[in-house]
Parts: sequence; C-alpha cells; structure tokens
Amino acid sequence: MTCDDRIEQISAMLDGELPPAEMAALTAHIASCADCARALAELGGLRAALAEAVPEEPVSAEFTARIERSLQAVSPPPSSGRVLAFPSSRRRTWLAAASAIAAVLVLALWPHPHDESIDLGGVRDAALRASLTASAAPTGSAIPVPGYQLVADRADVIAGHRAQVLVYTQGVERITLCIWPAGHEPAHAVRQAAYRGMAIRYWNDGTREFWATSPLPARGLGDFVDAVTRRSA
Amino acid sequence: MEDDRAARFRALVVPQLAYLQRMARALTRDRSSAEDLVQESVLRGLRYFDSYRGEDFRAWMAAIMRNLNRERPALQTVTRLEGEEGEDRLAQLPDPAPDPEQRLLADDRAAQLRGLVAALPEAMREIVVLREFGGLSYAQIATALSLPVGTVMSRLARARMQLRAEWTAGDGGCAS
Repeated sequence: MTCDDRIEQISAMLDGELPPAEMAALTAHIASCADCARALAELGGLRAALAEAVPEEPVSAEFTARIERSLQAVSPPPSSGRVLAFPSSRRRTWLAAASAIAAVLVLALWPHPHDESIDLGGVRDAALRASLTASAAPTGSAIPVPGYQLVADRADVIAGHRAQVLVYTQGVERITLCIWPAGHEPAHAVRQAAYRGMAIRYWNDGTREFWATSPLPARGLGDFVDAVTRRSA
Repeated sequence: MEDDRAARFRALVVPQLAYLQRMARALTRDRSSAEDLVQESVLRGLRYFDSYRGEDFRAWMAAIMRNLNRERPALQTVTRLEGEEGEDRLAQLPDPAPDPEQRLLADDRAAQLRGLVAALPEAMREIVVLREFGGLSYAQIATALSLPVGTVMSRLARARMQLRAEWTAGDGGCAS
C-alpha cells in the first residue's frame, strides 16, 4: 500500500470511522512517515477550518416558530366538527405568540440525550492523533499546568466539536487534554470513564468542556486534572 | 390519526433543525435561501412521512434536503465566494471587534473555504456537507445517498484532498 492509498484511511481516521485493526497499522506507519503525518495534520486543520467556515448556530426561536407555523398550515389540528370562526387579528397575534412560546418550550424542554460514548471515542482517537502530530502549529492559547510539560498544541474537530488539543508529559506519563465550548451542555464536576484502553476524566465548567485522557493504567491523571481545574478556575 | 402523525413528525424533526440549518447554509448562497430550504425540506418530510420506516431520521431528512436542493438549481450555490452574504455577514461581526482587521481576514478565509466547497463536483460536495456540517456517519451518508459505505469513504477522502490542495494553494493554510 502506498502513501496515496493511505489518504483514504487517514480521512476515515479523522472521522473515527477506521476499524481498530486498520487503525493500529496506520498509526504505526504514520509514526515513521513524515508525508502521512503531514497529511494527517493538514486534513485535521482543514476540518477545523471547515467547522469555522459554517459554524454551529442555535436555531432561533423565530425560525422554529416559522417551521411550526408552516407545519400547522399543512396539517391543522383536527376540529371537533363545528365550524370555527375566522380568527380575528388579535387572535392571530395571540396564536403566533403562543406558537413562538411553544416552539421555545419544545426547544428548551425537549430531551437531547447526550451520547457520551461518541465524545469518549472522539477524545480517545484525538489522543492517538495527538501522539502523531506533536510538531503541529500551536493554537497559542494553551493552559500552562504546573509540573507538566506542554509538548503539543493544535486545533482539531472531535465528535463534531471544534476543539483545542493539548498534550502534556510528566516523566513517562503522557496526557492529552481536549477542550471545546460547552454549548448547551450543563456544567458538571469531574467524571471518570475508561474507553478502549484509555482512562478519561471529563468535566464542564459551564463555558467549556474538558476531556483529559491517558493510557491505562493512568496513575497520574487525577493529579493532572486537579492541577488543571485549579488553573482554569 | 392525522394529528398523531404530525405530532410524531414534529417530535422527530425539531431536534434535527440545527443540523438541517447548518447543512442548508453550506448548500445555499445565503441565510434566507438556507431557511427556505430547511422549511421546504420539513414540509416535504411531513408529506412523505408515511414512507418513513424508522430508519435514521437525520439521514432520512438529509436525503430529502439533498433531493430538494438538486431540484432547485436557481438556489444552488455554484460560485459562492467572499462577500456574497453581504449585509447578513457584516451584521454578524461583533461590535466592538477586538481586532477588526483580523476578524475580516478570518471572515475572508472562511468565505474562501465555503467557495471551495461550493465549487466541488456535486457528488463530492454533498458528502462533504453531510459529513462536516450534518454530522452524519459514513453509514448514515450511505443511507441518505443510496451509496455503498466504501464509496462514501473514498469520495470523501478525494474531496478533502482536493480542498486541501486548493486551500493550501490559495494561501489559506491549515490550522494545525
């Protein structure tokens, strides 16, 4: 297989779509191939730039209300059989306001189950990529963590989030920290998880989500998280 | 019952509006056209909801949006380049901007990249939009476009390589 052939795999790796068996072979190759490492970094950068070119935006209440009104127009609620009076302008105004309020309530109350396994997988894959692109250009806004050396700082897209990926070392310990805007996710304290050989601790300070990960057994991950939370508080 | 059918459709479609809106913004020339495309997609989705068999709903709606967009050549973005969103884009600039020059430069680069996506061959552009802005997996894209997963994977890689080459050649550079 040539390096040109591997572009397809690198592209799939960025999307978290590469089977684990192929991932192992590809990461081993990239670790020793400057061209493929550069392709990985550039395609990762391209994805980050695309995420900024058409940024995620919340749906406005007005637009949701417009959609609701158009749906109601083609599928009116069933009447009880009696003829309804044509709505007066005051009633139409009230209906529009009620529709807008209903739309806001639907958006606010609709349960959006947050599938954390997607984020866990994305963070784990980002940590693998981080180990291959340590020389990538820094974003310039890394969090200094006392006692840890910053060895990589780059932009990436993780599970759909425009993320900053930082890699720290302390002795033999290597920790990847991924940070992205919290969006609508509520703040929460540090949680723990293990995913495919990686220990992951993650928290949300109400503004940003933080995902720290290192290979199991992760002896110093807790100390690192304590240092970061003290620093970013 | 009719109201039950519409209620089920609404319950499925409202959580997808943000994805649909973002995909539409990537497929059309401005915010107004994007909102029109989302609205028409939603209405068509309701009309054909009887044919929905419980498959991935976002992929199902993405297929409807893609088909609608193909049917509306006048609204398709073929040469969307910098500045075409005009006042709409200017209105999004923060005021006061911390660094107006940098902000405009970043805005130009974003517009340039959107132009490159818009100029991709349709078969490539659709996959890029569904993946990067719709957040669809390869399997979901394959469902939406009736393609084998392998074709999605290879076509997406080719599209990215083309974008990468043009983006780098245009002095856009890559972020990482």
